[in-house]
Amino acid sequence: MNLAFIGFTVVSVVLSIYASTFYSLAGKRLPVFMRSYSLAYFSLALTFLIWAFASLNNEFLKNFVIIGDSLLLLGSILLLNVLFNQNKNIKIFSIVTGVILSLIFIWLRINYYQPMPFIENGILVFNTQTIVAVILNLVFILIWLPANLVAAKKVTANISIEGMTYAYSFIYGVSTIAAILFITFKTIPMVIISFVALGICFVMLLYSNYVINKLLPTKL
Amino acid sequence: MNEEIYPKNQNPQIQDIPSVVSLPQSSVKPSYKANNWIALVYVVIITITWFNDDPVLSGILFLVTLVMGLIVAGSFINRINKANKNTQNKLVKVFFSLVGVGGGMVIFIIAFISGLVGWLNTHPIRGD
Repeated sequence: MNLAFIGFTVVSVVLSIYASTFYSLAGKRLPVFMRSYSLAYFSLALTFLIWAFASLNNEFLKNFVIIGDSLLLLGSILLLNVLFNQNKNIKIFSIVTGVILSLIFIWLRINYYQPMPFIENGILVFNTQTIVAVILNLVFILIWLPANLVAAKKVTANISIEGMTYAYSFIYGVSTIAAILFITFKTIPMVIISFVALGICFVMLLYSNYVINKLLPTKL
Repeated sequence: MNEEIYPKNQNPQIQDIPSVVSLPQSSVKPSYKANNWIALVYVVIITITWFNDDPVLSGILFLVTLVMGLIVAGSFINRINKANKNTQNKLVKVFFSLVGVGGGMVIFIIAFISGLVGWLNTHPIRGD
């Protein structure tokens, strides 16, 4: 039984549901720019789906990890639209910079820091080089985490229940930290434990989506 | 409709709402400050743990991260419980309960694996 395939597929489905909820709410009960947020999560869902199929075939493992990295960076660029939505000039500048830096990163990944993933007992270990892990972690800390906090504020802005912003910020924040640990770890026990933490976060994310649907006012 | 019928401050429904619905500010702010300090100390300890080579120190730091994980998780659950008590909405109550339990578990797991990685650096399991 390939645990990596099952785990990644389940996460991909959960992220797709999460993203589709936001996509349907954007422009109606949430600001239009939240569509970029949902597209970023669609991109992340596709990343997990690609990793799932990568874990079935060792031959394509390396290439699929690079494609996954590219989609992760695409999602990060989409999130810049969420982060800098208030200022058009900064938004355009950050997106252009993001595209250039992403292309440089992918070029370096193909030529100098090639992925070295392996599968052991049905578990996919990314075995990411320290410098690559640091860069990806910085992307999560500097883009995904703040963008998630912006999303938490936007989602709870029209829900006047004490503690909701705190709870949503916590879920989005802790999910990002769990994802960082999952990418960083290189040993099987650590990968499994961090994946369990990530799984709990996804359960909270899914239920938070359900709550949003029920509590948000029907119109902005 | 009410706003059209009653002038501001004369709507009987608005006047019926008690003025003590929200938590007093003093009971919220200190816990936020304490959380920030705990998070900062935690990050410092984790950083030392991950780069430390001394087996004895790594063992002590592993225990410290576990205790800190419990404190942070407890503080978080306490904060969520307070919010849970202040709402009557069943859906939100279930949500807060789920976030309280799930969040507490995730905080502790993160603290555990962060400390464990540091400890394993100086105590290899299979001698490799």
